[in-house]
Amino acid sequence: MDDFHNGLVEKIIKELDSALAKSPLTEFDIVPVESTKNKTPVLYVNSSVALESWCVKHVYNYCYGDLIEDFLTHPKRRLSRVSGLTYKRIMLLLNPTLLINPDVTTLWNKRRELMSKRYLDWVAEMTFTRLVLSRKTKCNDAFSYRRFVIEHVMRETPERPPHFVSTILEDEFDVCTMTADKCPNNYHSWDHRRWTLEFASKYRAEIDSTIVFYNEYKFIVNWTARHVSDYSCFHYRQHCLKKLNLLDERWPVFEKMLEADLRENVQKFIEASDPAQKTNKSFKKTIEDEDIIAYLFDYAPNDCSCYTKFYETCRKIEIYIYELIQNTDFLKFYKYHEALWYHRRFIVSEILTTMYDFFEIERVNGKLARKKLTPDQLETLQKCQKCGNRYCEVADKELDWVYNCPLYKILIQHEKAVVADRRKDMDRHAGRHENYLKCVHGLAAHY
Amino acid sequence: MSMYSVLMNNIKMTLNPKDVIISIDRPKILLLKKHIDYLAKYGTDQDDYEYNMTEYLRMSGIYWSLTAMELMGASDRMPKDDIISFISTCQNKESGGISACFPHDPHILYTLSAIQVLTMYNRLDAIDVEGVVKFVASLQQPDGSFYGDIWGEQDTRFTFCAVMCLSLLHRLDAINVDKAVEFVLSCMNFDGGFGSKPGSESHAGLIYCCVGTLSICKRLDALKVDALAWWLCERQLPSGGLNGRPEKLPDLCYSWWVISSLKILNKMRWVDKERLEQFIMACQDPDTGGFSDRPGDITDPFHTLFGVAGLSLLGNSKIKPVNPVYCMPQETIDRLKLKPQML
Repeated sequence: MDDFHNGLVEKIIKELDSALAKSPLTEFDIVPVESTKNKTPVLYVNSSVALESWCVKHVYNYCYGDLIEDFLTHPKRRLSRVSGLTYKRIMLLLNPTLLINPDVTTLWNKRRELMSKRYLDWVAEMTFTRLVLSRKTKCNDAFSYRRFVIEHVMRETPERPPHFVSTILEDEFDVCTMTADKCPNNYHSWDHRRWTLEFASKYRAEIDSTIVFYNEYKFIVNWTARHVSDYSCFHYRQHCLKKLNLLDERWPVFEKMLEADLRENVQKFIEASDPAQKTNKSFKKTIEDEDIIAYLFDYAPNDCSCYTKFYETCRKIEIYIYELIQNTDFLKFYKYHEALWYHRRFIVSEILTTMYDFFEIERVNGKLARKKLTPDQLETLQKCQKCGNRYCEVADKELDWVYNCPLYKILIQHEKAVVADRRKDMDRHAGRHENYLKCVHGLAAHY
Repeated sequence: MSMYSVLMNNIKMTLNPKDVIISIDRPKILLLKKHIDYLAKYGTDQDDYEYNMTEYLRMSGIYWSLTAMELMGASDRMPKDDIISFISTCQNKESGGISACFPHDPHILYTLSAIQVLTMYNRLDAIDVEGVVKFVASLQQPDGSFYGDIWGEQDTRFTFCAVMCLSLLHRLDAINVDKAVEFVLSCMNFDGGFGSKPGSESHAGLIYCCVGTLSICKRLDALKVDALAWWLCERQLPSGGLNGRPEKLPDLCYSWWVISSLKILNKMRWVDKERLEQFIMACQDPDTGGFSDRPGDITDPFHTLFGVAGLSLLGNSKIKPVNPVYCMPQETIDRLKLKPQML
């Protein structure tokens, strides 16, 4: 490149640098403009900054070339004397290079190095990666760098002011929402959101993680309702479901958040396939969990003290039946969406697993088997005479016996009805669903 | 096109909107010579900008092109000596790892590509093999997973790279194989598939990595074969092409990742091979040569390799047999006496 171009690029990157210093910036893009040499190619409007496309090649070649030549070829020699001046120069070159081509891992590593040496301000780094992600919404290097910065800053800030963790959480959720919104099935965005949830668990001493999880579930229920063909968000919904704190005393708060009466939901579900229950007053809301268990599992736990287990099983049944009914409605309304059907597979699998778990059995290599309990688990189980006895008794019976339990019968009746109904609309996934249950879950003999 | 086929296509699109329609003028036979010329010439007419933009993955680019050329019996069209000396310059003296291109940072992705290229050329003497073993082993974490480089990010892709790389060097003893397997299994989902990390969504590319790892480590018994194969064969769309996740468009590279996994599981009969072959053929560009992700798009060496390798798995006699685990010529794997597990 000649001196004229070099001078021009220097001018452009300095202008970009001062535009990047303005806040709050949220978006970066390259706009297709062939050539208007009398005007600056750096555009800055509201919270967005952009480069005109004609200058991109020049800027990239110049900055990338300089970085490779001056700061990467002999890293030892150069870095040993990183000063305020060289670090500013590196950043001046790194920013445009990564904005244009954020897939160059080595350049992100350079930032990591500078971050570790405390040259960079972490808040500015978060703003910068947000800009990168606003244009390249699937860039895993940018998500990964955000995780690195957050872990770094948590280590460096042992004494954290209140709201420190919650501010990070909000920011990460926000970036994830932005990238998931711009790009469907955004694998890395949903992965990052899951990492953020883990982060919330890790710092639960500083933040009410139970409420964070309840909020996230509420968020994803609304999100999936608007993105019925995006399985990535359904996968995240499944993750949230598994993370829900079923035993927290604030479960009623959660129910209120959902604006749903989960117990009533179960009641309707049962009544739909067993109309005799409609007149049975015992399913009123005041009913104890034991009564639900007694009905669905045909197991009367009168003198049983395994309350936690019943409580947990009941919450699971409630939430998965809520999921199942909502999914049925969506299948009828939106039609033909594989993502919805795949989510249904998950729900059905979870209900079956809850049932197997309740009876201390599991499916291994396509066959039902008694769960192998550790001596400790067995001891706990045997503390309760009834459940302990049952575990031993079931061992002697045919395990297929579980398929006689009312929960299973109601579930299969429901699945059959949904499949038949969807076939009317020529939804080819309906037949697949039936085959899946029969073959993959081994239910053919009990269907 | 007849009225009838137009109507049928419309129906197909209504029932499955996320697919492509292969127009009748797309290629139907293998344009072997075109692809050889395309790869032999690839990169020679790039300008500085294109060259600089892709430098960060140069090493993998070499692996894609060379493997495709080997499978097409035309590796003599590649500049062997230049490639070998290029690889030598990419090894980091201190860590032993190999980068995509000097002076980029060493990474397990490019270390594997380099080892694959050098084993195909039977020229491992061009690098410090012990250095590579040391680098790969240093990336294993206490939970069995592998980082891609010193900065730490776990991913089942990196586990596959590590295991494949060391098995090609006959040095699997340098890592804790049981732990590596344990980590892979912790990434299994209810549908039998695998994601990049524990809890990540099932994804055909990552399933290939995990199935490949278990095959090399001879632990295929740990898979939920029926559920997994079921999920994999549902990736096939009416056009014959395969997608990598539900409700995504078909993409040629998934024809490799899905059917190589099915081949390892001995379930290739679960896909419609004829229609898949039609789709792969339609992804060729009769003018430029090479394969693209979908019919009519711009071709590249990455999709060209997976097009050629896919056709090889489907039994095309003009292409040499490919090994489904290593994505390298079977003759190379035989020469190294490697026997990855197959069901």
